[in-house]
Amino acid sequence: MHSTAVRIQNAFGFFTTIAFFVAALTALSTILYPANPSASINLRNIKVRTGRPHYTSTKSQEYLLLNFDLDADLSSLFNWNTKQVFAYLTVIYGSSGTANKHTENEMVLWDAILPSANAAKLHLVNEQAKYKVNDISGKFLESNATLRFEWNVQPHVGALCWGSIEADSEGNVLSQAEKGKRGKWSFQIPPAWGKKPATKKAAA
Amino acid sequence: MDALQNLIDGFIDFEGQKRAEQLCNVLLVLTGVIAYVVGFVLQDLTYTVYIGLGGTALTMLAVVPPWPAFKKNPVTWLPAGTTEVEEKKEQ
Repeated sequence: MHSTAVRIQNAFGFFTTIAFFVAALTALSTILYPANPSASINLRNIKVRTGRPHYTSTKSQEYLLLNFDLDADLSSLFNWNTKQVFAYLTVIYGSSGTANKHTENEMVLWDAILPSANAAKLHLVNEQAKYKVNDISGKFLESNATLRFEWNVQPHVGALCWGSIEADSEGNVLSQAEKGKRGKWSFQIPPAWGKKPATKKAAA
Repeated sequence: MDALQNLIDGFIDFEGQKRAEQLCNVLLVLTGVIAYVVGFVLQDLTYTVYIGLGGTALTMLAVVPPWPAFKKNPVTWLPAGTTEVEEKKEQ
């Protein structure tokens, strides 16, 4: 500490140490704020249509189109260390039978960036899926699908954390043990253009 | 020119160095604690950032310049020529 240059170095060096500890305590303080997000979903107008991925393409493939109602409250995720929350709705389905080798499929239907606690109370009615959904093989094969409402908390300091709410067709929550969820969360992907499957015709 | 050099060097005495170091540590720890507590109580991280940066700037101002308070105990050297220098014994 004998000269100006050394004093600047020492003061700045200790400042970085203090800044590290303040940041670490800030990141740790997140555990003091337990969050209890809730969500309920109602599906409307689920249909599958065929189309071409590009107008120059000759390949026709199936697209899943749906509308949904979403009531969600993510405001409890906001505390002094929350920068923003990314919320998204995922459709999950497995393939039925051996026709499709891709047995686990997840796609994002809709998403939103929630910048504040005020914006974190979602009330969507008859919202259209934001992204078009198509299977890697081009056909959904009328699989059983489930919706999962997920979120990603982005803090100012510290680690990102994820959470989700998933439920079955009766609205019973399958994971994340959250309470107060209702609505239609799972469904069977309908055949393209609403046609009856060939097997059912044969049975009838 | 010497005055300018002295200002840039900013030498302080030994007692002043000890005081400057203690002052620096105490002020910066205090800044960190106040910044954290204020931000936590008001639930806004921007307070933490600005109190932290402001407190550090004040600490720099208090510690870095060679203030007269850091020069109160100058080292007193013995006057020149008061000690006898032993002659080297040739072997």
